[in-house]
Amino acid sequence: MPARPPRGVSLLSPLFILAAWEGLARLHVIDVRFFPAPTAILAAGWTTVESGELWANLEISLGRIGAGFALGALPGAVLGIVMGLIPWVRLTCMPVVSAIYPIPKSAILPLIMLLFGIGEVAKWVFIAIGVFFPVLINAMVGVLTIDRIFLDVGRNYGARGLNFLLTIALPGALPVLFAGIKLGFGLALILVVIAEIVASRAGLGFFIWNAWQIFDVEKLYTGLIVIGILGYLSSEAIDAVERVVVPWRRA
Amino acid sequence: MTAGLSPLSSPRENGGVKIAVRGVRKDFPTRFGRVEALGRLDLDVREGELCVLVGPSGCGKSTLLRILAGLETPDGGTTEIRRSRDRRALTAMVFQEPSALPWLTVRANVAYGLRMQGVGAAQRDAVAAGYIEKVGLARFAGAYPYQLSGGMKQRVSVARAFASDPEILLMDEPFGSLDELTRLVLQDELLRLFEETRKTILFVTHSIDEALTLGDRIIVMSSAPGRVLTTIDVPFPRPRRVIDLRRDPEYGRHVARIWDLLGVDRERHAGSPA
Repeated sequence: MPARPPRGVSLLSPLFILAAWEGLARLHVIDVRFFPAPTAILAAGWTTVESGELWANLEISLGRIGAGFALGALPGAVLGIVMGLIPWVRLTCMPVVSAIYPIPKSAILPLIMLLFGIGEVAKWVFIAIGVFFPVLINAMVGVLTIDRIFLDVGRNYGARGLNFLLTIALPGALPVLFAGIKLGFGLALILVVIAEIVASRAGLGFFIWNAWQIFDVEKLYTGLIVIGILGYLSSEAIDAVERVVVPWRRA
Repeated sequence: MTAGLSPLSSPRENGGVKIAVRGVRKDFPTRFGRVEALGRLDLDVREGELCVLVGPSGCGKSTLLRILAGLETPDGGTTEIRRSRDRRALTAMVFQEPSALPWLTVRANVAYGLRMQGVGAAQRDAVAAGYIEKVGLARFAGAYPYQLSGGMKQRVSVARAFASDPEILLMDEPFGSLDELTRLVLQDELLRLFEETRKTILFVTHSIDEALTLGDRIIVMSSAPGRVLTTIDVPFPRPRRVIDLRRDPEYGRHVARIWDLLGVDRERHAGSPA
């Protein structure tokens, strides 16, 4: 087996790209109107931090992600586990899931705005629908892929109903369910930006769209970088939660 | 599950019939049509007895255990497990595959059966701790199964079965996938646990050595369909130790006898299509 590479190695490629970008921008090899130097972006970004503009928008987006994610992930996990456990529920619901799941969520947004208006609820519902499906499908697959022997152990030792759910089905499905939660969270991030670009006067999506409208390219990049950082941090946070909730999973 | 207890053989002085199997049939669908796994099987297991089922692969011995464990339903016939008191679990099974629940610690695994019976946390932890000690896993009580070796995982399953204190214990080749040395050690541990608790155990193996080492009585089965060929009373006194048995000249004689029984059966089936 090859030796484990040192920890910092994954920083090499982003650092290289940033350095090259900075150099090329300063030498005006690339057009700084479209690709401002990273230091320029940083400086412009810092002013939005200082003015509180970034935080205000970030806070609003995080609130929407949180509400939408909870509204989608909880029912998704519950229905997914039930579908995994009970064949007739699975067979009844699966055609509907298979039909709705592949519809691009952005295509549903007009309908949602028609039904829920352009307020906060519409954004929650929009994000929730996106989160619901990957969580549901992974929860179901998580239950279906539990080793049969553990189902036998549960049945043999008299685990029924809620006991079976809590001691066999849920823990057995957790590792796969977490993959769905990660997918769902990534989707929530995408959808909140879409919703805010289309119909909002606040949030990260609005922040980016507004930057485009006033042609503030540095600010536009700032928005993109913040979303990237948010994606990275949320993924790390979910991993940390997983390590606590699924301690039996080999590191 | 309602057949009256009409013993096939007169029960010995050590207890009445604990498990009665009457005319149990089980078919399995295959590509070539339905295959009879068990054909009208009758057998009794006595209270406090370690009864071993030996037979070739496909004789339906695991199927019988799964039926008794409530994991399969028979296509015909009845089984009965005589209850000694209400609310006690009927069976606890030790499977051949590692079956310690990966998401529970050793302690929680061993206490699992009691937890499902509604026993309070303090009491079940105390019982579990006792059995964890008996199988030598005290240092690993807080460990998860992935941190254990194959032999240790089987010890967890054995401890869990005993700790849940069911009417009968079912063991489906529990040591079948272990290396020889580990198997001998676990056989010794099981002998100790059995001799201490005298729980009724129905133990499936295809190892003649294991059957003679552990059993009070050996039921030799034929394959496809599974039927009882003969029953052998094992004469070795208890408490037994694996290594002492192997030194006994009687031991070799019994091995040869069972081998002959199974060999005859094999020849009888040699001409039939697989």
